[in-house]
Amino acid sequence: MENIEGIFENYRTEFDEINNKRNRIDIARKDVTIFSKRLIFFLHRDMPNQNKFKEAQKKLEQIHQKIQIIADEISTDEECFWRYSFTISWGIEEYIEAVLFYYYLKDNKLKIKIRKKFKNNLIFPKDYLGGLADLTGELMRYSTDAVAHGDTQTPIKVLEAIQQIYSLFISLPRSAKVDMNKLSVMETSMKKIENICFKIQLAQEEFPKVILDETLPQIIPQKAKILTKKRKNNYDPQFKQSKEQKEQKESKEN
Amino acid sequence: MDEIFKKFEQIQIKNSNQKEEIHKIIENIEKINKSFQIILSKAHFKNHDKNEIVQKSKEFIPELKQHYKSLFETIPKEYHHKFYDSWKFTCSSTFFNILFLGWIENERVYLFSEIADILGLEIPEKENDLGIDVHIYLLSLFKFCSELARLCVNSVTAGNYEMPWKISLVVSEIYSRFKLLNTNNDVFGKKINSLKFDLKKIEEVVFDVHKLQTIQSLSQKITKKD
Repeated sequence: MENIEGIFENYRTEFDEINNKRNRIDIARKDVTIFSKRLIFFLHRDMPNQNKFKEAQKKLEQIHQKIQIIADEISTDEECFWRYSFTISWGIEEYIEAVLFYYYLKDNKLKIKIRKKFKNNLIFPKDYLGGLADLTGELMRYSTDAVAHGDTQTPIKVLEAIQQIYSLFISLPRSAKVDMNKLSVMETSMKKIENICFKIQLAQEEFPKVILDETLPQIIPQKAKILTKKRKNNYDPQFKQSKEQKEQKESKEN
Repeated sequence: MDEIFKKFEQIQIKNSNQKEEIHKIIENIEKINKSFQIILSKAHFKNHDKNEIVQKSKEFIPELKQHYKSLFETIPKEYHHKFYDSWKFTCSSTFFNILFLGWIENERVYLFSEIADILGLEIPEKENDLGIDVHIYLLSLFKFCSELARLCVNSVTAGNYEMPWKISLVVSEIYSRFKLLNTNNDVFGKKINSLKFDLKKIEEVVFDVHKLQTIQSLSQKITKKD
């Protein structure tokens, strides 16, 4: 009997170790998802400029630190990695989405490859594909926002990128087991951008470009329309100047 | 009793062997289908080369011909419907590819007999002879129409204002023909319903383009008068 007790004590310590490790990894993973979500929202918030990318780079490094924690936990042996791979995959998907989106905005080009920054390869093909599929939705939102600001060039560029990604996804065999929901969502977001490009093309034929910039937000029905009013204050230089002039006048009158 | 069960087992083994053989061929066909589809999907891109798409996609046809020949050699003629579910969808997707290729090349919808000629398939002469049946062709037509609805939008962005007219003519004709069929509330009925929405989308595009063109012609007349 004593023997059995001893064995079970060993088991207990082993169980606790595994559970603790899983908890620590889970916490780090949650941080990774939250931070990468925040990075994506941050990138959406303003139109890109130099200062913004510096700040985004800082946020990206924050995420890298969190992933490093996971990598350190797992780095002990191969078997360990496979045991926890299921818990990580959610975070990694979100991370890839954020990174690809960041590089897309920075270089204006789709960058398919990611440089390895960690000792062992944490990125599964399945997670990578999931992140790439989610990226298309993010690109769609970005391009609709851009149109609302009067930028008619970005949707055409984005459409090219999304069509390329979509044609890659079609070619995957059934054994790749990509989430079919994601594919259909990607298709709808692609069709949305196609519709936007179509409307821009028609509008460009119809109106001269000066009028177009003002009317476009009305032609394309999107939630972005509501946001534009708020944003215009920050981005439209004329509006800003006129506002400042008004304030100066008021102060002089007073 | 034992003998009966042994017989059952033998039949089972024979069946599963046949199925495996069919699956191997179907996998090969699906691989070709997918690479076929990638090249065809380039027709939606803004700057595409039509001749290149046609030329590249035509290279797949002899391969497909061979695979289909071997597929129908492995399936005995009486048992076409026994393995129907396993080859129905792959077959309809090849049909779709060839339909779309035909549209890109000639701007025309290929008939069932023409596609069968291209793939080297035998069409059943009597009703009771079951070869490749019309059902598969009709299934592929639905997918073809929804793809045309996409092409309609994309061709306008590429600056081709005549394409929507042609597409709307063809799809409305296909839709009116489908209405002749008696469908219960099965897969076919639902698909015909979705075809209606595709048609609606195409009509909207045509309306927008037509509106634009009338405005342009009117403004030209006005400027001439001045």
